[in-house]
Amino acid sequence: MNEQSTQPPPPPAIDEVLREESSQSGKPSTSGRSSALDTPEANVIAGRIRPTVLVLAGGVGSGKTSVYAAIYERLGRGPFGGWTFSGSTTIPGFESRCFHWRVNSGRSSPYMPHTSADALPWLHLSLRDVGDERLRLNLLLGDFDGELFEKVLDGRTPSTELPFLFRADHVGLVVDGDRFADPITRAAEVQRATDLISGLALPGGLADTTVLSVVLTKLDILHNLAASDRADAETKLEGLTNTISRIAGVDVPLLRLAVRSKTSAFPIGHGLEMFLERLAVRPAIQVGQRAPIYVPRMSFR
Amino acid sequence: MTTPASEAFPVLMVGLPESGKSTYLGALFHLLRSGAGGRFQFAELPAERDYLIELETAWLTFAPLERSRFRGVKQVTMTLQVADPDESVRIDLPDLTGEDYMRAWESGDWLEDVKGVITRARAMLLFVRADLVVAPALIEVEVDRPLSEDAQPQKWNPSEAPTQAILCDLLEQIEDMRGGALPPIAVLVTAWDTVTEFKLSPTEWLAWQTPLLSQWLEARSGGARCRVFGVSAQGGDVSVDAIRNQLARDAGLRPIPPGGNTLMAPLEWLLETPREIR
Repeated sequence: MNEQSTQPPPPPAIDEVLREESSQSGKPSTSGRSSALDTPEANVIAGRIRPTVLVLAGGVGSGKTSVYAAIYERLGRGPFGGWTFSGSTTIPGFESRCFHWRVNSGRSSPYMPHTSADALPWLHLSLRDVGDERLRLNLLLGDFDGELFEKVLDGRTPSTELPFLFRADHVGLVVDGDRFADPITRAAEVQRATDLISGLALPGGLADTTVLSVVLTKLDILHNLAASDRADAETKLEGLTNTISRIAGVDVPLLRLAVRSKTSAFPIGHGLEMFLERLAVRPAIQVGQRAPIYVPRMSFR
Repeated sequence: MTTPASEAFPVLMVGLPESGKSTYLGALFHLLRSGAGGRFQFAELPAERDYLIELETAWLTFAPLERSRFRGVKQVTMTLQVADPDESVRIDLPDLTGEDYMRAWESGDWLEDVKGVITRARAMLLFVRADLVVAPALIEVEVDRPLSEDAQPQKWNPSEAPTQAILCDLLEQIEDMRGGALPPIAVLVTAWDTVTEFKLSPTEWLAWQTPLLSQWLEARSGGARCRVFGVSAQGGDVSVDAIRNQLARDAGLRPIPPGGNTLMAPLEWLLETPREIR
């Protein structure tokens, strides 16, 4: 066989293509309804159904969009975690985000394009309890450009200038499992997460620090480490969670996700059951009702 | 309890291109006028019979339909005599093209007359063709797939989205247009003959192949306002010569595949759905 023919083709300029796609991901002309909602549109939903507002706060490429997309992708395969799909006003937005995980994308492995700064941020998803025992979970998911949170962590943008954070019922502080797994970038990731919690926890930034969770993404990469390195990573992760809890003044739970792993040991949406369990707790923190201490019913390590 | 003929019973047919809406109409017309419609037969022949005869002829001769050459609403009204109880009912069954629905998914563009049909409807027939479901197939991980020379990642194209996503979005748009209230929905899994090998009920098949849609419907209705039917207007795979020749021997009376329903069953259920939940 000709050696040249075994070489994969040079990477296409896909980032440019995806940037073009995601920059129009607010209301693209290629889909009937909104791919995402702007804040006034999200307010309309908020006025009608008192949604649970979730904001994942983390840097560029940390896996925020993948978490949102994976909830939809899992529901597209049937009910899970005791919840069933009951609607979304942003189905085209979920579809366009999940597209690069699917066979018809033409890709050989899953990919998630970065969310651009000018993309409309809010995705909507309505879930119904399988047993009809709990209230419907109407989620407004804030899919913001990671650059926004880079500005919060380095102090360029005080969290008090981002009013959606105060409205959020849940704020997930995202720790990038890929960066955390790498011994070279691990300390920097710890520092970034510490800086971000310091920025988020400014007085007036959040309605209450009980909204916080630490969300470790790309758990699968951490799992693939050698035992000694993994032990070190686990120790540092525990230390980071303790630091975040100390700064927040409450016990902040750690949620571990591997929502679109490139290894088959972690099926699509790994860890999301626990994540939804956390989201189902929705006190009126904006008017002073504190969230109860979160005690997970299940654990994924 | 049915609706008296003095009062029209508008039924909205929703389905993507080639989902079987027009074929169903052609077959239904034939059954009703040949006295094979069970408790139902025509009280009078429909005014639009030239159009219905065209559909019927295509159905009888296993010819492909070209419904999409008409854009917009093709009005069809059928006044039926019901045997038991003895009464008549006038059903408006406007035929909308699948292309109109695809346009609504892709661009949000609804024709005004289509909007009118949607807001007036008191029942819905939702068509899902069993052998044309586009599934959200995930890229398999840990599978060595060398890229071919011409492999290029594709851009997202909404027209190639999974069937369940498009139908859920259309239903949401329809629900919005109707102020949040949907009429009872009969889901017709068409080409039912192509999936009988799985030995599932139509409801089970829908939950298996289009789980998002199945959950969406269940969330709205709790089951009471929605029922799933397996129908086969053609009666078999007419692309196979032997089957087509077999069916042609009694072209007007196609077999009901195992686990399936008669063509009249969805309409009958919609007509008998109590008026208070329509």
